[in-house]
Amino acid sequence: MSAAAQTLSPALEGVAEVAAAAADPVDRDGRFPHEAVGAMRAAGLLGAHVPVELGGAGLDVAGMAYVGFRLGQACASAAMVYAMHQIQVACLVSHAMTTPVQREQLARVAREGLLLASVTSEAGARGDIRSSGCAVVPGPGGTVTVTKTATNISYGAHAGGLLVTARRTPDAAPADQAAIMMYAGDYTLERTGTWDAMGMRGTCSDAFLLHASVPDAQVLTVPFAVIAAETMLPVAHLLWAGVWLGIAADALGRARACTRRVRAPDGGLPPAAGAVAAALMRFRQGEAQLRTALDDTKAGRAIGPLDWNGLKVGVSEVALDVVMQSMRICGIQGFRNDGPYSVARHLRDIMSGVLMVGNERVVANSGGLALMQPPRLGQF
Amino acid sequence: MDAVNVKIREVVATAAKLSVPTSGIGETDSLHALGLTSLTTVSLMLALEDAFDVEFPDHMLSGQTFASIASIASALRAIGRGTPP
Repeated sequence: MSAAAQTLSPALEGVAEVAAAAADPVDRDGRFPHEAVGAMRAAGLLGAHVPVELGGAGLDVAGMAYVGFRLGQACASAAMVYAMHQIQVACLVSHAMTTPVQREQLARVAREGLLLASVTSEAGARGDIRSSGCAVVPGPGGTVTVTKTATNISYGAHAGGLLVTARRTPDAAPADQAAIMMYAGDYTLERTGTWDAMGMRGTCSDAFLLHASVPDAQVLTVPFAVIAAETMLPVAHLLWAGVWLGIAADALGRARACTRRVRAPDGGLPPAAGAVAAALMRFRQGEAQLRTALDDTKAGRAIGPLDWNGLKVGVSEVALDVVMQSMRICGIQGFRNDGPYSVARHLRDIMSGVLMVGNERVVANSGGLALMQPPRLGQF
Repeated sequence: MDAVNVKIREVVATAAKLSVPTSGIGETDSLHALGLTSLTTVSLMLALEDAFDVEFPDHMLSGQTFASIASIASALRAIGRGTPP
């Protein structure tokens, strides 16, 4: 554990407690986990990745993945909000640290605990974040305007700022994108659809029509193609994996506790003990895959696109398997929506991992990579 | 010997499957040295939970807790079961 992570550790436990206490109403009512996010802000977790020189704690990606894991055990929606926010912060830390305007953006994240949301989705883009229809349009007095029909902005109505993608100019190709930092006040959001989903209900991923006018200095100069490939995708996959493993770990903990209470007639091991062991073994596979990716990242070893996709597919499938195994172990107690051995919310939440973006699509998109790049095998 | 220790010895006698009778075991003698294995430790733990109507918290679930009559008694005291139900 890094020094920054150690410093945050007691605060993290407090935040996890707050998040866990509100997890059921957040899920039931499909509402924003404001208690948990408020606790994150108060504990300095929202600005933790911001460099120390700008007021943050300089928490590294491994530290953030652990925070996501710990929060995932408490409330999946709150953990996912945390992860999505940190993905935006990581993009700014890696690609927007040069100008005074850019440095002030991160300083505000640290100082005010500004919650950042992502606006990459767009009607007509078919889920491809590397394609935009809307464009950055020059406006009067050094401003630019953006109008975007977003199919989902997770916690958009609750954010203090947005990182928005759009074509760099009205003449640019769909893939020639820029990212634009916007503060609440720079934009209006008109809700055009509400998020009522099976799981991750507290992320409040509503559809919005965005109208924005911002100083042109808030348009990031680094192309979004670079930001996406170097930071957004890698950090997203690492942090999501942490959250998913957290959800699975809590389900597994419930399955283990449930099993411990059952006695075999002959006084031997509880009948489901072996099933708990099997779930634990499966869990370790996901944990190992995430640890390898975090170690490679820390050591600066390149991870190819195929392996990033593999991390996403691998850990999301492991986590779903573990939650499903936990459900079978807990049986009717797991199936219930209440009680200490319920894993119903876990199962609904963890389904999002394999579906968003769909693993079948991720695998299909990897087909070309598998044939183009001769894979280096035997790396152990 | 108090009632808790008597009860612990009864449970050890049935669940731990040791190579010697429990009457000859000293308070601090290592049960592991007398044949307690990782598998029989689990049986012993479950049998103690049933006998004393307790649930050992996770942090107590180690070989050390079940290493001797004395360590078991101390663990039970720590979770407020210094007397048999």
